[in-house]
Amino acid sequence: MAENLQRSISDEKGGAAAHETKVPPEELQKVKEIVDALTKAIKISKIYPSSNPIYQKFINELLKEKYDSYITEYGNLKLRLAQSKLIYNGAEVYDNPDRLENIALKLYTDGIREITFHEGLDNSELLSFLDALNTNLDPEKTDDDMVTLLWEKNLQHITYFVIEEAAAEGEGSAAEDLAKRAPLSGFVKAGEMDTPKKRHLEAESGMPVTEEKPKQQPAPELPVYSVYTLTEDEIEQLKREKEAEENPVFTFKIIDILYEILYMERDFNAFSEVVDTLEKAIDLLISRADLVRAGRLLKNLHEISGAREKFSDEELNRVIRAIDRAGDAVRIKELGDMLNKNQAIDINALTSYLSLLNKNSAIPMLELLEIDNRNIRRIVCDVITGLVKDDIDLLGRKISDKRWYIVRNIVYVLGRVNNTKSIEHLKRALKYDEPRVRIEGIKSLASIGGETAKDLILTALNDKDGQVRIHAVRSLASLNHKKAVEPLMIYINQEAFKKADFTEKKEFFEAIGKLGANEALPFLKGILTKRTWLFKRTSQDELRACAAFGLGKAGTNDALNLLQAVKEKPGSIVETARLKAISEIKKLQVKQ
Amino acid sequence: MPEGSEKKSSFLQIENLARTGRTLVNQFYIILKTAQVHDPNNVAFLHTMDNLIKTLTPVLTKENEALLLLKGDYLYFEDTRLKQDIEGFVSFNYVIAELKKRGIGSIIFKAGLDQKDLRKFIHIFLNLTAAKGAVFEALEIQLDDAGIKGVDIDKIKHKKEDASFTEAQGAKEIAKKSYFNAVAVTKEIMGNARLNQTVNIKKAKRAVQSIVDIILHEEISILGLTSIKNYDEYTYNHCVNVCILAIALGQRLGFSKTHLSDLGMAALFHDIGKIAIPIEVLHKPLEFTDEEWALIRRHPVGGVTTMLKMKGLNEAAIKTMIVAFEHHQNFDHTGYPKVTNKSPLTLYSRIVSIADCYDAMTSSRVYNKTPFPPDKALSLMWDRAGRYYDPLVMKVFVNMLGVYPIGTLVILDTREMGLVYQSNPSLEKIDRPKVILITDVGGKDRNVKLITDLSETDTATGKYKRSIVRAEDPRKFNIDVAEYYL
Repeated sequence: MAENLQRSISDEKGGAAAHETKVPPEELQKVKEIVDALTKAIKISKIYPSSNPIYQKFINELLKEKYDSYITEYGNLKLRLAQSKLIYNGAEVYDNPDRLENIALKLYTDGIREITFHEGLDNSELLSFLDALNTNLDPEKTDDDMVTLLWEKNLQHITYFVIEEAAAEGEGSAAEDLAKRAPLSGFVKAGEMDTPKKRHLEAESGMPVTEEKPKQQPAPELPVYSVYTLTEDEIEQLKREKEAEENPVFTFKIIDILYEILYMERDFNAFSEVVDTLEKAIDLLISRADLVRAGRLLKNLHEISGAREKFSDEELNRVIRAIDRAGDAVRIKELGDMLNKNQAIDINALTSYLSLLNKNSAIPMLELLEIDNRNIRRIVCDVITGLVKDDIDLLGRKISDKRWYIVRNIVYVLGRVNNTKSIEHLKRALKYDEPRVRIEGIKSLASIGGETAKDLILTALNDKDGQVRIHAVRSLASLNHKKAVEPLMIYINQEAFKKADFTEKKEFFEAIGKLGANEALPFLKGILTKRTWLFKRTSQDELRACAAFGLGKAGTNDALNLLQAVKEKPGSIVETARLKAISEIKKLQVKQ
Repeated sequence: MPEGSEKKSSFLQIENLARTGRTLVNQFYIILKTAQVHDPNNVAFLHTMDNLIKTLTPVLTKENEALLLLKGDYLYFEDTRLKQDIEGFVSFNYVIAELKKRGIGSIIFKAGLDQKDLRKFIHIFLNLTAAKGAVFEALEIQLDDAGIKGVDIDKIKHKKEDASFTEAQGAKEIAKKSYFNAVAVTKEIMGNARLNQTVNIKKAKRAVQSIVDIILHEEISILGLTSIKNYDEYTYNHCVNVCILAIALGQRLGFSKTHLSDLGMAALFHDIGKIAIPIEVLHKPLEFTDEEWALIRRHPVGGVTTMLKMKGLNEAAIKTMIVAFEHHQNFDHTGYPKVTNKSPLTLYSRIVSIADCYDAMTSSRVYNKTPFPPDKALSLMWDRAGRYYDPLVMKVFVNMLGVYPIGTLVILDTREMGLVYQSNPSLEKIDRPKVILITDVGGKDRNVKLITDLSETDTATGKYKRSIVRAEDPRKFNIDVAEYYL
């Protein structure tokens, strides 16, 4: 509690020194121990949170062993401040050459000249006091000084005497001067009355110009007290409103106000300043994971950027810059940090917010693909798809990124854009080191379609990775790329194919069957009916079984007849495949 | 701290005591109300008593006694003054009135308090019949006869009937110092902002914190200073007056100390946008031209942009900006500036709007030397509550100022003339404020100014000693109201 209201400055200037007496050594020792413990507590509080047991123990010891022992014997502890020193009854009990760490100086600088610790001080209050001393009072960052901060701590057992800044600097008399001349200088005597000016009245009091004047029409008397008694419901309503405004969220109303001001403000500097603030507001909202408000604000800025008739080019450009800024690399990184920290993100709000960013944000947004949450990555891809649809090259250039998981998503987006311009970039994706990127490239090419894309997929049949080849052959089959039949046959006849695993072989034969139909039958029949010597039989039987699957996919009567004509040993791999293929054709025929 | 109390309380204990005290007053109020409806064995009545005993048990276990004290117009629990906010508005006033009616200055609850004792106490408290002037004594005898051990009472300690006017001078000096410091700081800040120089917000914050302290501890000493209407320095005095009125209103609404400080800052800077208006326009004695009027109407927007330059985006600064923008918008969304999104005005803005309007209406200006007398201004504002002003906040404002606000010149039925000094906290006696008597019954100036409470009754007749006949315009009598509050 500040005592500046209870004591005059003259008390301070002469008072303390006048009462200095010789302090008994044991008393002085106790004070020094308290001050030492206080300074140590401040250091500890910088390391540990107030809930830390070590810190709590230290505070307890300080209070119980040192402070209470002093208070019991000598009463309240009063310390005077002399710049960097703490003085107890004329004796110095503290000094610290390190100005940054000097607690006396911190208090002195803001006008505190004496501090008194009273009986009844407890842990929580002492911790509040220490917290204040540890607060960074950088004038660039806060409107507080030590006095305003201690006031907010509402300390009951630590009081302090403050000298006001003006008086301290010797300016001193501004307030006194006002006090002397204020009351009568403007007083109006009877007979000096004039007619109130309507606009003046409204400007000052809010009363509209049509308001009656007291002389012309006397004001109504106030009604009986029952009329202005608050009902229980009214009290509840006021309580709710008060509580709502004590919640910091209420301050977001300023965003709506600033938006309104943009429509009213015609001075460009002021306009720009408001936009600056809205930019900061977006940052703040993002850091608070308030994507709904951030999205609404961004939407408002878009509305302005579209209202060309209401704003100058200079103003419009300023607003567009603000939207661009929201999607720049720094802001997107902050968004990413926030998304990583918050598990419960409103996915719809995120989608809306991202969708409102400008095209320039597409590349920075790729960084969001680092986020663990799969849903978020999917949303980011969808949004990027929308942003780059008219500028594929913007994204295509990023295919050389070293992070395969980012490139895979880029490739996915290039496929989703569904633009043949993507094909050039996807061609590079098929050469990327990581097979998962090449697979995504095949999928994207398949989704774009067209002869060029199909031909590119065909090249992937020679990929060194089996999974890539499988995806390529599946894509070719699903694209019904008949030109692929011959290359597939050539591929199968290569010696290396025999070393491929069964799944891959099956995919190739099925693709041939599907794409080639009756034209592929001689090739498939040749393999199905080809028998070998015992020591090569397993490998050959795999090929024969795959040929049977291929005939199944051909799905024609000729294929069925061919399959039915073949006799195989029951239970063998070929027989199993043959029966499955026959069943598949019959099912197909029933459907048809 | 009340007289005679030497107990020391810790930081947290004070918070707890205040909370327990408020709960106790509310529960005592409920018991009194319930007892008038239900018989003593009714479950609802018994339940309310149980609640009160439960509330007191921790204190009684530790201290053996718990004291509910009435001192002046305030209730204390132990050594802690109970802040009367909007939640306790009805219950506090009721309990204070009931205690005063019986001449009770304190109720002492003792360890071992049980339902039986409490029930007997309530019964005697409510059903006592005694001659006027002897109520307390009769009550004391009956309580003794009933053998109640768990509750005791003490008599109210009256101050001298007509306290000397000089008694309050100490508190007033402190208030005056804070008031004029705040005016000087406001002038400095607005001056610097006008010249685009560095603005020291900390000074304003300190000034506002001082005002909050005074309002929380000695409200009347500074509320009276709002009758200082200095039109040479109108803007600065006005800002400080609005700040004081807003904080006082916020306190009634139960805002915490820190939020009162924020509200005070918002109120102090509500007109900061006027720094963009040339002085000659602000002080123009004639009607504004259209261009000037447009400039004037722009100051709420200017307030926001000025604050943006002065401060960052911290919470308190934002609240100030919101108030600067909204303080001329009416409750029904008329007023200025016109906005497209008609969301409800913030409570801060509604408070400041009322304080702003009241102070402006009661101030003389270069262009308007006939301000409204306080009671007339309040009357007009009351009539427009619901359209221009929030009707609920307006109610609280009237409750705070009384139907005869501070600074109102009143003629009494004794033919004395007085200036309203302090409103009556009891709603039922809202038309019976404390008054500074400035003339005697013969109409002569009093050499020693006296403060008298118009709710005082004559012990013999039971009638009020003095009553207000009518309010008068002080200018008619060449009376400078502000002089009496300095």
